[in-house]
Formats: sequence, C-alpha cells, structure tokens
Amino acid sequence: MTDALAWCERSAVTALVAAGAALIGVPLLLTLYLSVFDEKLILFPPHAYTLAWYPAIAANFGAPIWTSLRLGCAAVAGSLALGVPAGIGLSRHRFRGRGAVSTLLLAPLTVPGIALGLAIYVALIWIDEQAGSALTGSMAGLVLAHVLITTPWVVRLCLASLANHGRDTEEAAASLGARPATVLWRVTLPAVRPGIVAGGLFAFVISFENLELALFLTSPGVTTLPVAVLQYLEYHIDPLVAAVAVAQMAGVAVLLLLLDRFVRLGRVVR
Amino acid sequence: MPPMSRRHVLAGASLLAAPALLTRRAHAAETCVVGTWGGDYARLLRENIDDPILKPAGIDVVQDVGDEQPRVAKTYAQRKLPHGTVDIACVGAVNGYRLTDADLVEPLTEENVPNLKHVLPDLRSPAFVPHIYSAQVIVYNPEIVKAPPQSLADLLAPEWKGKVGMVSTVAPWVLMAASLLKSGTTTDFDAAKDFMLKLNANGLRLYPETDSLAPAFKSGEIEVGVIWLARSFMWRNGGFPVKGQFPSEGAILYVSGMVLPKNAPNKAAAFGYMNALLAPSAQQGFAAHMGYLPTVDDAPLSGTVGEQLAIPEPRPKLVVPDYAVISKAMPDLNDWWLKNMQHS
Repeated sequence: MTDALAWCERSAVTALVAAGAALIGVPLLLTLYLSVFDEKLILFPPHAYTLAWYPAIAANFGAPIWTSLRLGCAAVAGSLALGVPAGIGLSRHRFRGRGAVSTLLLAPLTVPGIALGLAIYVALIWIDEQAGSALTGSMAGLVLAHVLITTPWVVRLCLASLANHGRDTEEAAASLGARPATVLWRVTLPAVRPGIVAGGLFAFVISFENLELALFLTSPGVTTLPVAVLQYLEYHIDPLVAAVAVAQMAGVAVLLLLLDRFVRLGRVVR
Repeated sequence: MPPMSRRHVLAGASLLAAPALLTRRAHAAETCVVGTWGGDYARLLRENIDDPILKPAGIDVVQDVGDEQPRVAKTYAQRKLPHGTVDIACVGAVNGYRLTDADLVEPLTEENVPNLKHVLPDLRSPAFVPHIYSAQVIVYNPEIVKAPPQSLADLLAPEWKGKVGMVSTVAPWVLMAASLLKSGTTTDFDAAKDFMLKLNANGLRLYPETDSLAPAFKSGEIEVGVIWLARSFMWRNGGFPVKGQFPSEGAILYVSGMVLPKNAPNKAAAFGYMNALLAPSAQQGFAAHMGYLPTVDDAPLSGTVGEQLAIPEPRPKLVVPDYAVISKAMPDLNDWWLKNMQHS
C-alpha cells in the first residue's frame, strides 16, 4: 500500500514537472520555429525556411537594442547602489519603521506598469514646473524610473541571500577587532554576493524588457527595444520579431550560464 | 602615488561614461520633434519628408516614437509646461478632434500651412492636418470567394456562417459601419449593436489584431473579413492575394494626421513640417508603400499603385465619422463590445 502511494506521489510529481516544463518550453520552441519561416506574413505551413531574419535584427533594431542595453546597465547600477545597502540594513538591523520601509521597497511591484509610467510622467512634469528642470522626456527620468522598478528585486534577493547566513561570522570578526566597515567589506558583502549578482541580473532583465515606462518616458530620438518591437508589429507580422525574441532569450541564457559559473545563483533563486 | 589597479580604472571609466548615459541628446539649433508611430510609418516619414524636404531647409527632425494613446495622454499631462517635448503629435482623427476640443492644439490656416488649400474638403479640420486615409472594406480571397458580399447585410446569410472575421481593436469603426448600414448615419449605435449581435449569432470570428486575420484566411478558417483597404494592399504586397469590396451602403473612413500642441517649442518648424506632409511627393510615397490614400487633390496615383488603390466606379459612398459623437461614445462602445462580442 505504501509503495503504491509512493509510486502515485512520484508519478504525480513527474507529471506536474513535465506539464510545467511543457508550459515553459513549448512557447519557446514555437518562437524558435516561427523565427525560421520564410514568409512575410506568419502563415502555416511556411513555403520554406530561412535564417535570413537573424542578420536583419541589427539593421532593424540595432539602435533600440543599444539604448535598452545602456538603460539596463544604468538601471542595474542604480538599483544595486540603492538595493544592496537597503537589503543589508533590513536584514542586519532592527529599527522603528523597518516593516514600513520593507513594504515601501516592494511597492513599485504592486502598481500596474502603465499606471506607474503615467504617474511618473506626471510627477516629472510637476517637478519641471516647480523647479524649471528638464526631466520630462530626458534619459535621466527614464533611468530613475527603471531604478524604481528594479530596486525591489535587488532588495528581495539580497534579503534572501542573507537569510541563510547567520550573524555569527560578522560577530566573530567584530570581536576580533575588525571595524564595522571591514566587517561589511570582508564578511557581509561576500555573503550577499550571490544575491547581488542575481539581483543585478533580474534588474537588467526587468529593465531590458520593460515597455510601459518607456511608452511615457523615453526622450525624443530614443527608442527602447520593446517599444521598437511593438511599433514594428503595427505594420508587420513577420518572423523578424520571433528572431528578436530568440536572440534575446539566447543572450539571457548565456548570461545566466556565465554568472552561474562564478556565483551559485541556485542558492538564491529557487 | 600608488599604482592604479584595474578596479580603479574601471570605476573611473564608469564615472566618465555616466553623463553620456544620463544626459539628454544634444540637438541642432533648428529642430522639429515629431511624436509618431514607429516602424514603417516612421521610416516613411524619414524617407519622404524629413530627409528630402526638411533637411535641405535646415531643419533637423527628431522622432519621438511611441503609441498613440500615451502620446495623447502626454499632450494632456504637459499642457501646463511653457514648452512641451514635441512640436508635432501624430494622432488619428478622433484624438485630433479631442485635442482640438480641449483647446490643446494650435489652429491651422492656409497662411501658416499653405498646402492646406489642397486638402480634400471632407477631411478638413480646424487644427488637425489629415495625412493619410483609408476606407473600411470587405476583404476576401478571390481564389475561394467568387461572389463576394456586396454589403455588411450579406454577412448575415447562411453561406457566411462562421466564415466572417473582424478585429476587436477597431470595434467603434465596425459599429459605425453597421450604423451606416441600418440607418444611413454613423451614429445610430442601438441599431448597430442589434446588427452586430445578429452577426455574432451567425458565427462571427474575432481576432486581436488585423494581421491575425491573414493566417485565418490562409487556413480557410474565415473567407471574408472587414478591414482597412490599406492593410489589404500591404497583404497583397506581402504575397497574399486578397481583394477589397466597398460596401454598397458606404465605407467608413479612417483618417490619420498631425496636430501642433500649443506649447510646441518650435512652431515655425512644425508649420513647415505640416506643409511638407501635404506635398504631392510625400503623399505619393506613403500611398506607394502603405496603401493609404492621399488626402490632397494634387497627388494623383499612377501605375500599379494607382490601379490597386483606385476607387471603383460608380464611386462608392465614403463616409467621414462624426467625430464629435464618436469621440464621446468610443469608451462605451468598446465596453459594450468587450461585454457582448468577445466571449459569446
């Protein structure tokens, strides 16, 4: 009876894992398949297959990709600068309002993207009105908005990283005469390193694929990749967009593999 | 001085690069910022207006690419700023009417935009320059459909049961077409809704985007659809042979154009841009590549493009929507469509 129950449990888990893998894998495989259709409209079955869409990515989306890469890097830098100290502080110190700060740092995740984009846009206009600045439609405004939406990821992943790391080593270092800055640099930061790397990676991906903020906040002459893809789809429904998606997935996968080689992301992201 | 480590060099380089990442792009003295759709539309603006007309006149055009609704929302939001971020905003005629009604855009006259005198009379508007337009037609695959429907009313016939496709994103325009069928005006929405419910009961198939209809045509899932003539032109150029039939009761027109916000930083350049927009060469360029019809009377189409986009004889009734009515009714019509058409 026990064996039968165990077998049922194993079968159910296997089935669920297979279903989950299919749910994630099938759309990816379909995207890959679509990206080699030799058709100007996505018609099935295609009359032939081609890899010609891939070289066309740079010509059609080169500038938006470069913009999104720069924006992603700036968002990572900003969110790490804010999120890592915030994560360490929330993890290692008890202070009044800690719960409120923790909730506040998560809040941007709970607001729908399009509403957040419009709200930030209106806020920037108000600041410009009051201060005579030119934040509206500037790259600085867009970067700040991206930092806002990516910081919660960094904070959470730093917290997750430190949750498995007791304070014993930090206390031991302090009792042996290490100054607080030395403890932070030599003990705490190495402990939180997987969280920093995973947080930076998440921040980059979230920034790179964000559409809603860019719709409101990009400056004239600047287009991010998601906006460019959306606009391309207004007039074309050819496999080029699928090729872009595959290239993007491949890039993220390579990044993940490289990072996992140096930092065990599995310790944090699970 | 201690030797510089690789880490120091990288940190210094990052600091030096930061301004380039964060600062606004520097512009030439004479700049016209155009808030526009991207993709082919932006490319054709560059190829037909920015580079051949504005650039030689010493005006550097910067495109602010994005969707129409955020662009309209931004125009409303930045109305209090002494200087907005764009000189021209590309919008559909419905939003053109809304922005005009809200007194957010400059009135346009033949004095500041001389080519307005060539604009077709039905498309004229006090503060909106019509750039391109297209008619809503019944499209079909001529290889399969030998006797296409002549009117929207024909779509209720049993032979088209489950074989008609429409696009949900243009629901208000479809309802205007149904109103035109039932009462000869574009604003009898009660009659239009009644007709659409009957069409729904006859197996109407709905698609999220216009281009989603193409695979459905190809697979035989649908045999006729209701879309813009311009899109059928693009399909034909994409190797998918469809034909358009103007409904006998008349065809609703979609008009797209530009407005000049009152707080535009460079109005003189914007007036010049709008004038260039209506130049025959620019109008013909858009027709040749996108299948939209010229909005002016001095840009005749010739050759294959002229044949493909020719309005048939006898000339069908082409109907401009009542923008005052539709601009207010649109949210309710979309809401009704979502509740009654999408999931039934």
